[in-house]
Amino acid sequence: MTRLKSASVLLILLIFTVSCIKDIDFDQIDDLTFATPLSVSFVYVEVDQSVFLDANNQEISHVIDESDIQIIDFLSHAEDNVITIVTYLTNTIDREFVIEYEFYDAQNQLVMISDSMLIQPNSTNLTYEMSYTYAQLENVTRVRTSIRMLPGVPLRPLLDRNLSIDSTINMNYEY
Amino acid sequence: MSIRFLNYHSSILLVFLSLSLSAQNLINTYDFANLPQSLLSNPSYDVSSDLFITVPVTGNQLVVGSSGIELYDVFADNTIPIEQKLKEAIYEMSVKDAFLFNQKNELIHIGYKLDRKTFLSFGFYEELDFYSNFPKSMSELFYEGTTQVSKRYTIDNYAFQADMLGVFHVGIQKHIDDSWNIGARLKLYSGVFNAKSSNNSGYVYTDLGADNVYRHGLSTVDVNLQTSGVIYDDYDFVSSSYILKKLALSGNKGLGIDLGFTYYHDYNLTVSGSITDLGVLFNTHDVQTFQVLGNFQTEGIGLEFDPDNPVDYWENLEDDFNQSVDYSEDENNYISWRPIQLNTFAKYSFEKICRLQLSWRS
Repeated sequence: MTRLKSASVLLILLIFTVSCIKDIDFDQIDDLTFATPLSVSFVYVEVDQSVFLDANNQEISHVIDESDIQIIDFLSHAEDNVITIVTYLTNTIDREFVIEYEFYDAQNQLVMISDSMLIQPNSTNLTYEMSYTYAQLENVTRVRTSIRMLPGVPLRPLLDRNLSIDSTINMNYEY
Repeated sequence: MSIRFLNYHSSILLVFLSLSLSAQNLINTYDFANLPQSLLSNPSYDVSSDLFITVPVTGNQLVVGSSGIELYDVFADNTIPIEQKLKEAIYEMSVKDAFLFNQKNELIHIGYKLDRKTFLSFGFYEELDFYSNFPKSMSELFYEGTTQVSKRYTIDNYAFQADMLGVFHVGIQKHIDDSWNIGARLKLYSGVFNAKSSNNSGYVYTDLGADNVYRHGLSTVDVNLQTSGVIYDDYDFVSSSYILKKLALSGNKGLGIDLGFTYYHDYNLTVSGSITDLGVLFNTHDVQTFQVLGNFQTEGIGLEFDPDNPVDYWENLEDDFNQSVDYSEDENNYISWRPIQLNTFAKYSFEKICRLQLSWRS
């Protein structure tokens, strides 16, 4: 009986000394990549009708404004090489507008022009998505926003009407 | 059970124990009887020999630990992509979790009994330490980016410290009486490098914008990083001989102390405690510290379409950022505290085994 008791104690202790080692594979670290989803505010515009009228109340059909952008190195980390510009348009003016982005390099040479974005009179929250590769944008240092007002009914500058452009740059930052 | 029976079966058990282990664990030298290395855990421990000389050289000790995450959580050999496993593990962790790495290589340790009651020991070892609490919020930022509107990604209370140093030590163990031993060990540190960051605060956020789709911002950011022996213009000169020189007293200097006691209540009960690496390192070589302080927010570039007043929008954005967020670098010396370790221990030996111990002590 004593021997049986001793053997039982030893067996129980032995069970606790055996551990299961789970299979692990450290080589998986070679496959590890991170991609942070980014949606970052880009350019925004809020202009009223007076922008499209000169000092003599004559219509100006084409207005532009531009800015340097120095984020091209940042864009080189785009996952799958895809960079998307999403533009949200709201127009309470009684005219149609065509909006385009023009991309220029450091020598002020035009690199490319985005697709034209058309917005009807009195339209809200119209969305345009345009995707580019890093190769298309890698030499870009300046962006010009061009707004063309299409022919239509005369502007009524006394009314509070405006054109609003909001935009973001979307990409997955990979590293 | 007789002692002879216990010894026989204990030996068999030990054989099975050693056969069943397929991974290495750090040998816990605390209270590891008769092992000179136990003096490094508690300078008051009894050493039975009159003289010892140990030259481990290649005797590395390694401790790697984390709370809230296991290696298997990330590296399990299954079909789940590692990115998914890592993300799930990170989201399971909390701000209270931490990571720890400690490597110690003892080169030489000599001990000598000065008299019946006093034991002197001295030696040298190299140590590499890393500690970091888990930056949960900022880790989630890596996965979520700017997609979570109104969420605050904070760096509050994030801290880490890493250093590598050589330690020259000399210790005294004093046998007060049959019940009490006390001990102390003086340490002279020679630091190869140090990097630390603490008392950080602030957060990054994305909210819905008033003028554009989003407003992105840094709020009440106060982030610092102190380094010594880490940042150079080039690293061609960094070699094993360079590191050895730094380890051997040409690096940053520091002082530390270990204190310990052992109390033999009776033949069965032993209580001991120690505090080790109560010390400080004075970082004066190749120091570079960085700090970022301030608030900033932007909704992108707001075009005005005013040809009479052209605006350099990007320059304005940069100026606004530089005025709002102060980035500074300096080379001011700083102090870093060694990671203090507190050990407490209690042991009760059953009577028959204790008689064996009694004969050994006398």
